[in-house]
Parts: sequence; C-alpha cells; structure tokens
Amino acid sequence: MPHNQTPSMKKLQKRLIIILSAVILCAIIVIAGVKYIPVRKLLHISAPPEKDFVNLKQNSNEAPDALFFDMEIDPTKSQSNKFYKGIAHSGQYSAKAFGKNTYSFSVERKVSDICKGKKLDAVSMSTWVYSFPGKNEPWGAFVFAVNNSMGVNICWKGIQVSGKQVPRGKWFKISGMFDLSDIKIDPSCTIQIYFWNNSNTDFLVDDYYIVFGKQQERKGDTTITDMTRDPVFHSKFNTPPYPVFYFEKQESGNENAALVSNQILQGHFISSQGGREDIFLGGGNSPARLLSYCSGEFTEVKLNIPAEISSCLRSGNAITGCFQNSGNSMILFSGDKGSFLAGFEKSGNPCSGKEATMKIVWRSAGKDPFGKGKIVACDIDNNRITEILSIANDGSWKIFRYSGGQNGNWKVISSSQIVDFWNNKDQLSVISGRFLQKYSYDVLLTIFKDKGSRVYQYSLLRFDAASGRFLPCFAEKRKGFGRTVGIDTLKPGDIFFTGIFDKSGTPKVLRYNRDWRYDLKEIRFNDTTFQVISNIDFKGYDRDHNPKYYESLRILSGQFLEPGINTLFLVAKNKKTVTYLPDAAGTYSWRKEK
Amino acid sequence: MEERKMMKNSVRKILMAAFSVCFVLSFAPGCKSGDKPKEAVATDFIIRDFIPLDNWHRDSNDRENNSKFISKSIFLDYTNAFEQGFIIPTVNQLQEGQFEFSFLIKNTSKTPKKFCFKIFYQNESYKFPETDPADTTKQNMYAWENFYGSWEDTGKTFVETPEIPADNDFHAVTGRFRITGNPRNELRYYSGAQNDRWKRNPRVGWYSFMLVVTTPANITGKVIPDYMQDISRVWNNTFVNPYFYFLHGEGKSLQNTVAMRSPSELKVIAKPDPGAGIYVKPMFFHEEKDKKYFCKTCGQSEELYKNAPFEQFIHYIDPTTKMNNIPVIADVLNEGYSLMDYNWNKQFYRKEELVAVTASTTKYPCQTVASVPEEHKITIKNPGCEYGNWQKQNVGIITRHGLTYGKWTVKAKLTELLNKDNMWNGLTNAIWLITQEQSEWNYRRDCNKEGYMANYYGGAQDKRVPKVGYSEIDFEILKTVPYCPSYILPPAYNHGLPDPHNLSYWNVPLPEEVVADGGNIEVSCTNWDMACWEPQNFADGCNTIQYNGQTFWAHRWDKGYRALTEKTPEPDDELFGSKYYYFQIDWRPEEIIWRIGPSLDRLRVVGYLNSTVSSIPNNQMLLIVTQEFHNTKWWVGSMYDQANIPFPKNDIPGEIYEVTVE
Repeated sequence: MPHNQTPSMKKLQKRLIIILSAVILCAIIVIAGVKYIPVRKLLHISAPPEKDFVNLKQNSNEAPDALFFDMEIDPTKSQSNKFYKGIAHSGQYSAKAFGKNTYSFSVERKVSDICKGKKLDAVSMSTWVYSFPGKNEPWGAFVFAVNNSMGVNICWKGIQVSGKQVPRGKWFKISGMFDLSDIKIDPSCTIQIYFWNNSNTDFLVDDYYIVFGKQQERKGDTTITDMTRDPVFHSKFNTPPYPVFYFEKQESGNENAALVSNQILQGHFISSQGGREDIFLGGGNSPARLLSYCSGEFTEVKLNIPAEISSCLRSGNAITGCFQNSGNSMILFSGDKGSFLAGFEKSGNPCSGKEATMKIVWRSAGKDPFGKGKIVACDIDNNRITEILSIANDGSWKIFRYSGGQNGNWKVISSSQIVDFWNNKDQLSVISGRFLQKYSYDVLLTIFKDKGSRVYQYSLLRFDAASGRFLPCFAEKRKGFGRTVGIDTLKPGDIFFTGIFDKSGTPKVLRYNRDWRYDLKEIRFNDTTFQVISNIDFKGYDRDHNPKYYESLRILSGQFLEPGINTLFLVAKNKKTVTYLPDAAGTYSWRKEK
Repeated sequence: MEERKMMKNSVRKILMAAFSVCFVLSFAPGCKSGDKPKEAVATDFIIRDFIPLDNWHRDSNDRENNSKFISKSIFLDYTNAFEQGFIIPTVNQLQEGQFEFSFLIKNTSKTPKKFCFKIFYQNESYKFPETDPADTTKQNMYAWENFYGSWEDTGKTFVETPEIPADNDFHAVTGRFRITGNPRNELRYYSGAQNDRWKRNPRVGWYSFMLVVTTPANITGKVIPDYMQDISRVWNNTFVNPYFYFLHGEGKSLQNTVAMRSPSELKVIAKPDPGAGIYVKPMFFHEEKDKKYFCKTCGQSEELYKNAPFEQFIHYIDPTTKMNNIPVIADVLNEGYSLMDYNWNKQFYRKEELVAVTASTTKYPCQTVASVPEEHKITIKNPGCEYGNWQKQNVGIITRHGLTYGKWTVKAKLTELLNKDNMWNGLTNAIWLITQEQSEWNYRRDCNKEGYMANYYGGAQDKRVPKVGYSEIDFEILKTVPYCPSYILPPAYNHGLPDPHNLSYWNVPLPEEVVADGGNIEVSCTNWDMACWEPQNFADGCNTIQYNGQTFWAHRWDKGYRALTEKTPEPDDELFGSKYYYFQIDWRPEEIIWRIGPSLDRLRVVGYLNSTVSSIPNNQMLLIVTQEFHNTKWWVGSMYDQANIPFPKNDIPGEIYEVTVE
C-alpha cells in the first residue's frame, strides 16, 4: 500500500514513473517524427560515385561555376547498379530512382570547393527526366540540399515533378533556380544534388547541369546618364557613354599569314617613305615573311634572310625606325647575344615580285650600347631620322643616333640629368608619338605609378634640343603632370596609335587598353589633360566575328593600304581553337559616319 | 434485362443526339436562311409573318437582298458615334433612321378590337442563357446583363394597333424601332440629365427580335407587369429579361398574349476604318509645340474628335520599370546582331557607361502614328534613335468606342521580333483590350468572394473591393519562355563571367531547350481578372484547361495575382514575317478564346479561359494595338534582359489593316 512505502521506495517509484514517461514520450516523438517529419527527404546520405564516370572531363563544364554530369558510367565499377543502361537522354546510361523513397546518383561538394570565396547565393539546375509508364501517379523532385559541418540539413529545395500531366515514357527536361541569399551557407557546408523519387513510379534522370551563384553585378560604381530625369542629354567632359566610331573591314586578302607569327612589325622596309608600309612577320616557328599591299591584296614578297637573323627573329625583341636618312625602315633587334640593326636592300617597287634581301648593317660588340633600361624609338627633333632614347631605372637617359655609313655606329647625341617622371617608378611606360598637334615631332607620353601608390599618372615631355632637356608639355602649375578627368585613366600597359586615319588629314590619337575588356578609344591631348572623343568599334567583319571578342587582339596602325592614311591591322586569336570564332587577321579603315 | 437496358440507353442517346443536332441547327447563326414564321395563336387573335427588318435589305453576307424572311447584317456607323453612341441604323444607313417591322394579325374574336404590341430585341451572340441552368423556371442570375431593348423611350410601353375587324382576315400592322445604347435608360450611364448611351453601346453579333402581342386589358390591368411593359423598371431589385419572361417565365402562359420570336436575325458588325483618322487627346498634348506633326488625318480637329475611330495610345509609364540600358544603338533585326554580341554587351559595359531609361512615349503625337485613308490602314513606328537621344519608345493606337464582348479581329503586319539569329529586338507586339474607363458606370460585375484587387498594380496583400472598373484581355507577343508546367521555369541559365580572356566564360550558350525554341516567340494570352476568387476553379500556379481537345496551361503567380496567363510558342517568321496575320480575341460572357492565323478561315486557338477559372469582364472595353518595350522583370525567366538589348537604330514599323468586331 502506498502509505506503507518508505521514502526511498517512493523516490524510486517516482524515478521509475519519470523514466517510463520519458521513454513513452521519446517513443511518441520518434514515431511521430518518422511519420510526419520528412527525414528521408532531409537526410540523404549517399556515396557519390563520380570517380566511376567515364567522362570526367566533360563533366566539368566549360562555362564558369557549373557542373555537368552525363551519367556515363564505367560498368565495371561498384556503383554501376545505380545506373540504367539502354534508356538515356545522352549516351547509354542514366541514373535510376526506382521505387518509393529512392534517390538517384547524388552530387556532393563542399561549398568551399564550388564557390571559391564567393557567397553561394543561388543555384540553377536542370536535368532530364524519364518517368516510366504505369498506373501510379509520379511524384519526384530534383533536390538541392545543404548540410552544415555537423551534418544538419540547413536547406532543402526541390523542383517537383508530379501529377497527371507528367509525360510518361519519354524524356523531358526540368529546371529551376533557387535564391539562397537568405540562407547562411558557410564554406564548410556540403551541398547535395540528387533526384528523389517519392512515388511508386520509376524514374530515370540524365544530364545534370548545375550552375552556382547569381549573375554577377556589372563592374563600376553607378550609372551616370539618366534620361528619366532629363530627357535632353548634356554631354559632360570625359563622362561616358561616348559616341562610337567605327573602323570597317577592308578586303585585303592574305592577312591570315599573320596568325602564325608572334613578331609583327610595320614600316617602309622595301617601299619608299612616301608609299605604303609593309608588314614584316617574324618569330614563331614559321619563316619570316614580308607582306606588301599590291593590286588590292597583301602580297608576300620573296625574302632572303640570313640564318643568323632568322634565329634572332624567333626570340629577340625588335623595334623599328628610320634610323638612317635613306627613308627606309630598319629593325633593331636585341637579344641575349647582343643587338643588331638590319634592313632590306632597296628593291624599289615592292610589287615588282623581286626578292628582298635583309642585311645586318650594325651589330653590338658584346655589350649592348643602350644599357638595360627602357628603349624608345623616337624622332625627337623632326629630322625624320629615328633616334633611340635609353632610359635607366634612376631616370637618367641618353639619346643615340645611328651614324650610318659603312662603319656606322650608335652615338650619344644627348644625355642629361635625371628626369623625375622616369625615376624609380613602380610601373613606367614611355611612348613616343605625335600626341600634340602643335609639335611636329614626337613627344614622349610617360605613364607611371609611384612606388606604394595606387594612382596612375602621366606626363607629356618634349625634347628641347637647345637646352638638351626634356620639358613638360603640360602647365607648370601642375608640375608637368597631366590631369585625369573621369573614369578613364591612362595605364602603362596602354598602346597608343597616332596618325592620320581619314581624308580630313587631322591627326588622331587612339588608345588601346586591354586590362579588362577590349577598350579602344580616340582621345585628344590638350594643355592640361586628355579628352575621350569616342569609343572605337568595328564593322564589316564576317558573321559576328568582331575582333573585340577575341581573347587576344593585337593592333598595328600603319599606312598599309593607302599612303598617308593609317589603317589598323588586327590579329585576333583565342587560346584554343574555337569553331564559331576562328582566329583571324584583317585590315580596318576609319569609317566615315558614326 | 441488362441488354434491354443498354439498348434503351443507346436509343435514348441517339434520340438525344439527333435532338441536339436539330436544336443546334435551328439556332446556329450560320443557318439563318429563315423559314417563313409560323402562326402564333391566342384566344382572340392569330399572329403571323413577323418581319423585324422590313426596310433593311442587306443579307448576312452584306449583299443586297430583298427577301423578307432572311437574316441580315449591318455595320456600325461611326459617324458621330463617339458622342451619341452607336445607333442601329443611323440616318446614313436608312433615311428614316429606324427599322420598320411588320406583322399580320387576325382578330378571331367576334367583335372588332384593338390589340397591343411591343417589339423586343436581344443580342444573342453574347448573352447568358435566360433561364437558370438548375431551375429553368427561374431567370438566370446574369440574364439581366444581356443586351436587350425595345422602344428607345422605355416609357412607351405597348402600342395599340388600329382597330382590327373580326373579318377572319389577316391585317398588316407596322412599327418602327432602332437599337441604341443604354436601352433600359439606366441612370448608371447618365451624366446629370444626359443619357450617355455610348457608355452601354449596342453589342456586336447576332440580334434576335421578339414580338409580343396582347390585349389592351392585359396592359391596363397590369396582367403584364409594369417591369415588363417598361424594361427600365426592376423587379426584386433586378431587371427582368423579357425573353425570359415571355418565353420561359410567367409571360409564357398569359391569357391572350403571344410572344413570337422571328427566325430572322440581324448581324451587327463593327469595322472601324483605320484610314478614317487618329484623334489625339488634348489631356496629353495641349501646347502648340506638341502639334507640329498634326495633319488632316491625325490631330485634334473637331472632325477627328467626332468621327475618328482611333486615338494615338499613350502608354502609362511606370517609373519603377527604370532600367540601366547598354549604350549600344543597333538595328537588331537587320544588322546581324547575334547572341555573341548580346553576351559581350551584357558582360563588358561598366555601370557608368549605361543609360538609365524607362520605356517612353512620344513627345509629338502623330509623329509615330499615321492614318492612311487611301489604303485604309494605320502605320505605327517605334522611332530609331541616335547618340544622346537614347530611347525605347512605345507606340500604338487605341479605339475610341467601347464595346462589351465580341470577336475582336485585327489584321496587321506588326514588326518582326527576332532576327535570323533568333535575337530579340526587345519589342512586345500587343493586341489587347482595356477598360474604357474605370469610372463607376463601367464597373465590372461584383466579385462575391473576397472581392477584386482594388488596383491593377501593386502586391498580393493590397486592398480588395467588391467592384472595380479595371479589365484587360491581352495578346502580348514577345521572346520569353513558357511558365508551365512549373518544373520548367526558369531554365538553368549560366550567366557567365566578364572575363574577356576566356571566351567560354562570357560567351555562354543558352540552355538547349531555349535554343531549340529559338525561332519561336511566346504568344501570351492574359485575362486580368483582378484576382477575384469567385470562379469555382480559381487557383494559382500552373493548371490545365481543356478546349476542343486542346490543353492549355494557365498560370497565376499567386492568389493575389491579378492576371491569368497562357503561353503558346509560335514562329516569329510566320506571325510577323508574312504580309499580315490575324489576331482574334473572342470575348464571350463566359469564356475568352484567343486565335491567330494567316487568314480568317485558318485561325487556330492559342489560348482559352473560361469563367470556371477566371472572372470574365463584362464592362466596356477598347482595343489597343501596340509595339512596346517591356521591362523583362515582368517576364520571369526570360532569356534576354531588356536592359541588355540595344536601342533601336532605325524606325521599327508596324501596320494595321483591319479591325473587326463581330
């Protein structure tokens, strides 16, 4: 009887009741959990047999942030029972999900492996599904699940396939996108992607395609031009969008010879200075070539090049210029074994079909006379003879001129103190050209970045023969620096083309930047800054093979087609051969209208 | 036993089928050859030869035909119809400006007598059945909405005949009537003391005519109740349809009263002439500088105000649809703009280089629309633009005369949407109906379950109201993806990365199913039901609906979403690459059918909805034909983003050749 129980017995009984209640409660929770919580839906543990796929390379899709699985399995592997042979959307195999609560092959990845530092904010996925005919209504889902490092499911999303309208006995594609930006997904989490069959209808799935992440935001800060605020556009200095001018492709033929060369030079090698410029192709494994525009197409001129030069052509650096007063262009090669200057013997008419012979007119006796600094070919004094400016790292410089004649040599015609703009820069480029219309000779555009600085600066310098100094062209109050207005900044890697591009006779300056995308603009320097005039694009190319789409685009500017008028010679290549965008070379001329 | 039962059933089925065929044939509008009417016999008189349109001689194919007992047709006369509404017939069509009807009556009593008669008409093409499907002795709850009428002056009840001698002969009686708007003279359609009949214009389609003859005693004694003598009156707060009353209700068994329905009917067709001018509303353009493109056939003249059947449509521009567009100007249709061009432009413009715009509307009316009288057509164009004048300008026209229901057919050559590389030019070609006004007079039928969403814009949680004036039925044709079944939306796009040194990173192909559908555009058919939950199968998500063996997927984003859409992929080359194409919205009281085709006899159904899934509007609407730039946020899952599509370099023309409502 209860009233006869000792206190310890009472305690024991109490404990037993509590334990019993707890056990019953646990049992209820477990039963209810099994019944009502979709445990199988949330937890799906399956060893991924990816190693068993035969097309592992194809499975890593070429497009970024994507996975592709074609389910083609090596039948000798242990996991092959998860695959079905004979009915497949592609190839021979597809993945099975046969019977209620079954799962197909599952992709598993650590978030850190797929996102590489980026937030996993979305996933898009698709697969092909085959639902076997039968009486049962199909119900399945293509599932994206995320488990944290403890194995706890933190996200479950599915593209549901169910109902009477589901096609039976034929392949159909399903797809979807899940926004994950509200879910905290650590790099240590694991994602799983699989097809879950929750019906008695058998499913096959094939060709998973999974894309991680949302569309990236465009580069840049904010859109400036807002036509909704003011429908009348007021163009602001150096503020995009700029007008677009076009260079149009010219039918010139045989340009593709340039595709195999990595050394492309232009100049009046065999033509006279008043004529068209020739294109010299060297480097690479193919023999050197010289192209000259004759009778509406580029014609290859027969060459006689000494073996010694040929070997240098493959490896050395080369700059061109009219180093002698002959008016013909020569090539100054510099390589491991020293430098030499070579030129073609005059052949008169480049279209005559005569052989052109290249000869070395000067070679360095061991040590390169120009030093190890920057070498710039320029006509600093308007004498139509190209000089060599050699700039040392400390900003000191020398100007060399080739003396010509039988024992010709390079002589220093000027040297002086350090130019600050060239002294000890983190990055430095010095480009010669007719950047300012008021000077009829080359001025030097210097673009640099000071050590420790993130800002690119530039200056224009002209050589003052009287004082033997380089003087800034920009106002003194800015200490010779050019101003940068707007988002376009000149960079040391920029390539500049100057010259006359149309019949107007007005010289233009083009700047080509390839830090990111293709970016060719016409700019104009004034006393304080440079102004962006327009973007340059192309027209007239085959199909949609715009030169700007290529992974690599080399641009040369020269009087290739018409004396006195510059055209662009473009060599456009991709790293790999792409059938829809084959490598191409071509000449493009300034188009009259916008 | 079982066999006999089966046989009985089969016989019954055959009889039923035969009966149905006979019934259908007898009422089908195509079979209106019109047998001579039979006699209708009352205690004191006999009626026969009721000819409702004795003085109108255009047969149902609009040919001259003097036969008495045939069905006829008439086109709505747009002269002055903007202000006074449609009148059938007008003085331009019949000198008298009225139809003449006649019938023969024989007095079978023993003394000469006068009799009373009244003519009723009812639009048969777009009506609810008069009887309640569950109880045919009761009026269908919507039958009062049918377009029926009698004498224009509703106070004129029944008219007395001259004294008819009891001579055992038939005597001819004649009368006149015309069909006008607001035939019940409902105050709802008045502005002050003015009866704005245009607010309830006569419907198009087939009209039937019913003659009711009775004795004066039945009138004075109110045996025929007031609300039936005068159709402007209500009974139990509702109008009673005379066709119900006399053919199915109490009026059917009244002593000495006959209701004779003529087998001859009248087909009414609206065919606004696109060459008859375009009016420009001063509310949008009233300054002198706005008028520089005005001309005789487009502008704000008195003549155009009164008679032009079309107006230039000025879109409402939602400021939230602002987008930062690439600064590219190109002729997508003709300059070989490709997916690679699209992909480059999508990836490689900085934000600073973009141009913020919304779709715009014209600054100068009549600059982008023109009515060409010589060719009876309207031309429209989305203007091309140049540097500094970036714009994606919508263009279109709208009719000016509201109608309820009808088979709205547009013959047009609107712009192609895709180029040979299947790139989209960003335009949506739209042929749509919109509420004529959202004022009280044009409210839709009440929504009796939760109400309508109060406004056509806004979110799912917005205010609901029992009545709204907004209605819209659309064809919107553009390059996008289907929504249904739900497991196909959206396709798994790889948006790529702006890496210019890796072609495959930025020039990512579209998913294979999108490519496979490349030459197709989606014909989206939408009914804006304002999320009224009253239809018995109202639902969100993707649901199928059958029509004549075709299955359509109807899609609604959520239960608060105001529109139900169906999409059908169709070849752009066929719809917009051919000389012209037909687009038809068949708006009926209980269903909407969207059809397209190269000719009227080759139309195919591309969309179907009915009142079981969507509230069908019953207010007056106008037709709009537009070429417009949509923000693709409206079209979830689209493969192309409007902001990444160039501004048009050249004008993009469209032409409208015919508009018919019948």
